[in-house]
Amino acid sequence: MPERVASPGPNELAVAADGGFGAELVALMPQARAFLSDLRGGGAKPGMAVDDLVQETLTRAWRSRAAFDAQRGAMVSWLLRIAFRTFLDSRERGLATSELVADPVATGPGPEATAAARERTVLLLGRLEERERHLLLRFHRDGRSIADLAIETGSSPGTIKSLLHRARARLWQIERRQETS
Amino acid sequence: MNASLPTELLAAFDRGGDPLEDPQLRGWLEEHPEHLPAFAALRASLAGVAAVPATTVWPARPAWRRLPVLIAAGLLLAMGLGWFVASAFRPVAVASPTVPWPTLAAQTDVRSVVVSTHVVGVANSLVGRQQRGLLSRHSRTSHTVTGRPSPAVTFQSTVAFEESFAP
Repeated sequence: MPERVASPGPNELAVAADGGFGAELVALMPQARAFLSDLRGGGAKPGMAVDDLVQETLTRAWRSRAAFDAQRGAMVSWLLRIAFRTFLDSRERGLATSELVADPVATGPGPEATAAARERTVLLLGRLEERERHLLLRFHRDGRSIADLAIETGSSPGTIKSLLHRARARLWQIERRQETS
Repeated sequence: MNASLPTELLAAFDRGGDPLEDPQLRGWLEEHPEHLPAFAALRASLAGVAAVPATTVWPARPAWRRLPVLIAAGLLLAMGLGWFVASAFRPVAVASPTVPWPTLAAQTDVRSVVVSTHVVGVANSLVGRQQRGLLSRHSRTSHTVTGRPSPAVTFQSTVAFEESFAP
């Protein structure tokens, strides 16, 4: 069970007499939440639910606020690093949070959200070139190696690798454009 | 955030499986937290790719997406056609550096000259006529020059006949 003791609420942070640190932290929480949601959704390992990860990140950031130095970098990078570490720790403790894993509401999206996510992925893939889509599916879905795909397509492994990189970059760019529009 | 992904991130997925199992990559990401959102988004997207059913029917790409290709092809075709027309009807050069020019009479003596030009290897020929003055006496000389075709010279000129005033 994640630690929930002494974690401040957003209002507490916002009003804290800390030179605006709390308010800035609260303003960055949606970004941290989206990041943790992506991290949580991208792996098969069990771990903490997104809300718990957000809460744990907030707590750690609050405790480490004295270590934050605005001269050394943006607050968002500092916060995301804490969120990343929180996520990695939760993965390593995977089995320790089995009580949360057993609760589908707490740990993962429901069937509707899963179907919506799948539909979204299909739409994204549909916007790729056929060859890019084919390679992504063969590699990431069917588990084919780069060497397998090189034999299958009669190309060199280097070419397959380049094509896969390009396809991943395109997928990311399309998704990014959709999010910003 | 940059509009492009660093190679380290793109290559992290080449090994297959979850790239977060690689401690080296985890270290790199902690050193470059500015790339964390992009990495997380890409990892989530690729996890979604892994869940796409094999039976999925992919829609054909919309026609407008092929428009730039069609325009480019049309432009290329137009350029090729223009080049062909320009080469077919280009004014024929009288002399060529590789075809020896026949010795003709002085220009003032020339009454008339007929020059025919044959395009080597092409079933086509152009004939030009030039009349110069009226003379009471004239001589007629024919010159034929046959040059060997070469990649640089694809045509040759033949002076069919020349009417000149005898000096």
